Formats: sequence, structure tokens, C-alpha cells
Amino acid sequence: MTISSPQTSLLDHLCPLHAVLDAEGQITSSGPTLNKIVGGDPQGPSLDLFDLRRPTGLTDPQTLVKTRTDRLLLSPKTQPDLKMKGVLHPMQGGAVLNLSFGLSVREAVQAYDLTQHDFPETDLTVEMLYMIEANTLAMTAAIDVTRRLQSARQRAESASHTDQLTGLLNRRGLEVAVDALKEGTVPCALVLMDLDHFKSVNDTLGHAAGDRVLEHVANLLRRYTRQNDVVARCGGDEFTLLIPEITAQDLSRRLDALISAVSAPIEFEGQMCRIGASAGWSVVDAAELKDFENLVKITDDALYAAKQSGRSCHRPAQVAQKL
Amino acid sequence: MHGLINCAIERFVRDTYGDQTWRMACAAAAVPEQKFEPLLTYEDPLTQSLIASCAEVLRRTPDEVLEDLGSSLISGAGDAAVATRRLLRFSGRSFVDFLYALDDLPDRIALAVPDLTLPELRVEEQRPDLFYVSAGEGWPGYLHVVHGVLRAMADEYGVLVLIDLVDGKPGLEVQVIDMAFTAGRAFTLRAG
Repeated sequence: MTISSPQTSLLDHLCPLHAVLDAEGQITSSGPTLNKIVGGDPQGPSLDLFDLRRPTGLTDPQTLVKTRTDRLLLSPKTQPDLKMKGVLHPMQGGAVLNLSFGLSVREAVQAYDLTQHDFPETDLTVEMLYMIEANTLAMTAAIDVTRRLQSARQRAESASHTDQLTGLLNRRGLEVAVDALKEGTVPCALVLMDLDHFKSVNDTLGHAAGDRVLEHVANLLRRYTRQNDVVARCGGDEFTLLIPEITAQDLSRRLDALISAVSAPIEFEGQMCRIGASAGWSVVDAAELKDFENLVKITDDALYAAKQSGRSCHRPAQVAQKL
Repeated sequence: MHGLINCAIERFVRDTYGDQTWRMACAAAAVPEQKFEPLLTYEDPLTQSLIASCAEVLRRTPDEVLEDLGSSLISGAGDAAVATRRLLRFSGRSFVDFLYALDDLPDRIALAVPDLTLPELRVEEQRPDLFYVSAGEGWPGYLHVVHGVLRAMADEYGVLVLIDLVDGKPGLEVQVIDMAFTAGRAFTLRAG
């Protein structure tokens, strides 16, 4: 197809990614940006320069001109990964093929080193590249904030001394409290307490009921201890108490009352949760606290003994009997 | 004020004058934690008192501090300045194109950061080589920041300009002396 020089100049200006095809599908002229991507001023069969992805099965450039298909998908042979969009406008004796980079625009800019001058002023490509770049920066800032928040949260959590559910001390809080008592000189009682039948509450009434029970027991523990006593929940249904300056007799009475309080049914959403508590305990002087690990071991044996003798009771450890 | 603005002030003071100066300015303006989060919003008076205390610590007028801030947004050596000058270069192929595009600058910035609303900018061409730039209300001293940005962008494009405040008028006069004074900084659409 022949096309007049004012028309060529118009097309070059408004559609720099165009090619003019004759009736045989041969390129007779092309826009400056198209020349840039095919490398030079192309002449000859249009399908020598592009792989047609859609419509499929079309290899003859002459058929291409006649297809009257509106939507083309094609890749330049110089960059087979780019997916360009095309529109074919039929004209007397041929057609005008106009192309766009579609979603491959970033890769195309990279591959062909395109500049603002390669796109018509009215084309939104440059604005889109601006958006992509601005978006990347905004995303980087957002990811940065999220990452800092997350690490702050992790630090706060790992530094926490409190059990989130019950507000009692957690294992870390207990360790700190034990270290403080080791420094001191006051005698102290260690109580290890486990709930009885807790697992069956969890299994039959669900975890929400289990949580309610743990909160309730935590409240009872607070009520049956003094301000300076250490009360901790060390995972699951295990509670640890450190009670300074208490006699074995007083402790025994206090545990009787506590266990009896825990054994009262707890209401949860119309259902009654029935649990109990077993405890092992020891009363030691400050020096014996130094080997806390061993103290826990023998007190745990006492807890086991309490469970063996029918639960809902407490037993002193061997060391306590010596005192 | 948008956190990005406060972060820009922080970066400018830290990079140009050092952390010690920044801490002094923050202490005088009672900036909590002496740092800002880019995606949070802060009270406007905090930004105003921060600029006042920067000026005091640096022994300069607030207007001069703001102008240098504007220029450092573009000319700084850090990644942040590289990013800003790239984003602004998208708005025009030449410095004059860039001036015309200042009308669109608030929209362009809102495209990138939707909750960052800049005062509007108006550009009038008085002669082909003489432009008058004025700013909408909202941010006291904003025009001084624009002054610094324009000075730095002229350098980017390699253009020699004279930028002056006009007596008795609220805007800036931008006179283009030489459109091809230097080669300017190369710009490609290709992201870093």
C-alpha cells in the first residue's frame, strides 16, 4: 500500500509504534519506535519480524492483512518474551498495524532503552512507568514499617514476663522471681499444682471452656495468696507458687482451702465444668533454693504422689518432711 | 502533616548537618522519640515548630532552611534523592515542560501517595523565557521549598535559570537564561 508523506508524518508522530502493510502483508513504512525495536528500518514480510501469538495458526502475512481481526497478540523476534498488543486497521490496498507494549512495558523499556521521546505525548505509558516506580517505593516503605512493627512485637513478646491468658507470671517471669529469691535469705515454699480432669473439659466443652477454667483458677490463686507471693502459669494447666516465710502447717491449711475452692463447679455458657487440683510442695530455706532444679524435681515427685493417691489433695516433698 | 514530609526534614538535617544537630532540633521542638514514621500523620504545629527549631539550631532563617530542604530533596546523594528526582523527571522532557507540569504536581504526588495532599501550584508563562510560579494556601513556607526544588531541577536538566521572589507578589519568578547550559543529568525510563 502506498501512503502519502503527510500521512506518514502523521502516523510517525501519533503512532510511533506502527507499520504500514501492503496487500501482501509486506511492510512499506514504519514508525520510529517500531524501527527501534526491530533494529533498523524494516521492509519485507511483517511476520518475519514478529511471532504471532493470536490469532493462532496464522503464518502468511497476506492472510494477516485480510483477517480483519481486531486484536493481535505478538512478540518481536528481537525479544521473544515481550507480549505486545496490536490492532490492525484495514485501508485501501493494505492495512496499518499499530502496536503497544501492553503489560510488557517495563521489560520493553529495559530491553530497547526507550525514552520519553519514544512515546507520543498523549500516551499514558510514561505515567504508568511513573506509577510503577512510585508504587515500588511506597511498597518498600510499607514493608519496612511492617517489618519493624513485627520485630518490635517479637521483642516485646520475648521480653514479656506475663502469661497473656491469665495475667499470672509466665515461665520467664518465674525464672526472674526465682533468681531474686535466690539472692535473698528468707525461707520459702514451692508449690507445684496441676488441674485434675482439665483435659476432659478441653475435649468435651472446647478450648474456650478450658480458657475460662484457667482464668477462674488464676483468680482463685490470686485470692489465696499474698501480695508478695509468686504465682506463675508454666504452660497448660501447670501452676507454680513461691510463697516466702510460711510454715508447713500454714501452707497445708491454705492448700486445703485452695483445692476445695478449685473443686467447686465452674459455669461456662450454661455448662458446668468440674475440675480439681493436685499439688506437691516443699518448704526450704534460702540456701536450698540455689539448686532450684533439684527442688522442682523432688516437689514434682510429691505432686505425682498426690495424683497417685486419688487427686484433689496435696503432698509434701521428702525435703519438707525433714524440716 | 504527612509523616513523609517530617521524614524528609529529618533526612535533610541528618544528612546535611549530622545526627547531633538533628537531636538538638528535636529536643527544642519536643519531637517524640526524635524520629518520624513515613506512613503516619502528625500534627501540623509539630512540623512548624520543628522547622523553627532547625532554623534556630542552624542559625539561619526558616525560609533559607526550607529552600535548602527543597534543593536537597533532589540533589542529595542518598537513594531517597535519586528516587525523588527520577519521579519528577517523569513529568517533563525539558525544564520548560517540567515547569508547565507543576500544575499537575499535586495530582502526580497523590497518584504515588494518595493521602499526601500538596497545596496547588500555578504556573503562568509571561514570556517564553519567563514564568511566574505561585502556590495555594495551606503550608506556610511551601513556596521556599518549591524554590529549592526548582533550583535543583534546573541543574538536573542542565538549564541556567534565575529564580527570585518578586517584591510585593506572593510567587516566584523563574527566568530561563540558557536552556542548554550543561548536559544535565541523564534520565532514562528504565528503573534503577
